[in-house]
Amino acid sequence: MMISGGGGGGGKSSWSSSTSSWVPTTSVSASGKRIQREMVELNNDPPPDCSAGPKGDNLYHWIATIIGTPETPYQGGIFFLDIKFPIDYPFKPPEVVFKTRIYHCNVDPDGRVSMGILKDDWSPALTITKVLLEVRSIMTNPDPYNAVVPGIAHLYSGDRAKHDDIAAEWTVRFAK
Amino acid sequence: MKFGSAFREYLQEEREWLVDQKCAHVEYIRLKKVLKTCQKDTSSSDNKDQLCHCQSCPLCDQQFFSELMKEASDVVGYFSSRVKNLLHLHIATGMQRYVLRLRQCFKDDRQALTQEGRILIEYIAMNAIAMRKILKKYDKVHSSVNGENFKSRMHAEHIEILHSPWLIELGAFYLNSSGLDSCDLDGVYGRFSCELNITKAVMTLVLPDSINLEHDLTCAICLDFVFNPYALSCGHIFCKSCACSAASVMIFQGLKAASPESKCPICREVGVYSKAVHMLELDLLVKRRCKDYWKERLAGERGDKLKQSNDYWNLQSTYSIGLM
Repeated sequence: MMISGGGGGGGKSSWSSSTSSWVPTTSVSASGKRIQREMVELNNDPPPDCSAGPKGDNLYHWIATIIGTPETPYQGGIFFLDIKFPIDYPFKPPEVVFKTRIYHCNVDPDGRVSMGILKDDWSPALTITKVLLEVRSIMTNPDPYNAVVPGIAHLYSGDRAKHDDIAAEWTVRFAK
Repeated sequence: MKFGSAFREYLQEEREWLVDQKCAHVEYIRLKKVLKTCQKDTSSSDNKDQLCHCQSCPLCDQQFFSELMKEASDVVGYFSSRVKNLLHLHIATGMQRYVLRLRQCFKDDRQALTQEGRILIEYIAMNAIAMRKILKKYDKVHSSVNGENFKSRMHAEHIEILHSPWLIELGAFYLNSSGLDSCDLDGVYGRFSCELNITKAVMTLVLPDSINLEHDLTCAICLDFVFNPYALSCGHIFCKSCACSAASVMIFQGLKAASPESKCPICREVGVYSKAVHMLELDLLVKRRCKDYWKERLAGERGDKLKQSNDYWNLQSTYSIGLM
């Protein structure tokens, strides 16, 4: 991939066999330009209750915040997320990790978010704006069928009220 | 002027300049008669509006949708081949360019090309309007949504008349010919206009009957103005280098080398790379309007291509020597 001005330097190309199956990579300047464009887009038109930007000077490491959606157990909470872009972004998905503890069946104990679009369903046409909106969406509607914490998923499906109480308690304890 | 008579007048004119056996068009007048017959035959005497209130009509469904699908497919096919031929003459290279330059001494080809472009825009617009009106009429007569559903089916099968990448190419051709950021044309049924907004990277085509087509010229992968653009068969446009990377092929191999399982990054449809259209006229438009940007991108793509081919052949030689 090439973005204006991106020469050949930086990224490494790799082949998994002698004939085909080339793994696409971008030069650092190319992926950097794409990330910069996303940053401009995010500043011009931020998604509701979300914000994101680079952590210091490193363009490949961002900090994002999501404000808990009203009428959910996460309401009023401020959740911080760590976003790490791979060198071959956007052909590989970013890594999204909750830095604020959250009681959610799709977020593992280390804070790693488990979503289709951050794994097999990733597409280079997706942006951080869309990723943040998707994270916000699973905070409103968790997906117990693709859970990384089965206990929470089981409680969510079996005793929704209790699940919401615990989630709200965690929000008060860790996100306020 | 009512559309029926405008379409009839257009078809009479069309015969004069599209003297071509392969020329297809929507049989608007005949299909309208089919609907009228259906309206008479199925309406009950107490029904004031004389409408057929059935979701699928045995009287006209058999021939109506299958014929319409075939006609739409033929119109798109004919339009694509004619535009392809027209633009091939406009962006000729090598010996062909030399021959065309020689011909220009004796014959004004540019004017002929512009005239044919106008004819083709009118051709696609009139058929699109005819299609829209006949489907609307169908839904009105049958109080159904089958006409709307048919539009969705056409979209899924990539034969929706106004969603052809060749229409964007034709718009770019007009902007290239005029040298301006907008141009206007007059047709039988109204005015056509094409406009380019560089800052927003949008090309707008305004056709008669309030048809307003906005084509986003931003590549969804690099989020920049498309460079060396290719339209996949699903209709989405990307830079060649971006599309190649998305399909996990090298730039020098081209999109034809993409696996049939490769998906479009936007709609995730498979098998869309094999029939990708190289949008040369649009690339020429970008080259003329954003010279510095185009040069920068060209240098970058060349660098990437060179690096990829170097890496590839280094790996090939390593394999052949048996070091891996």
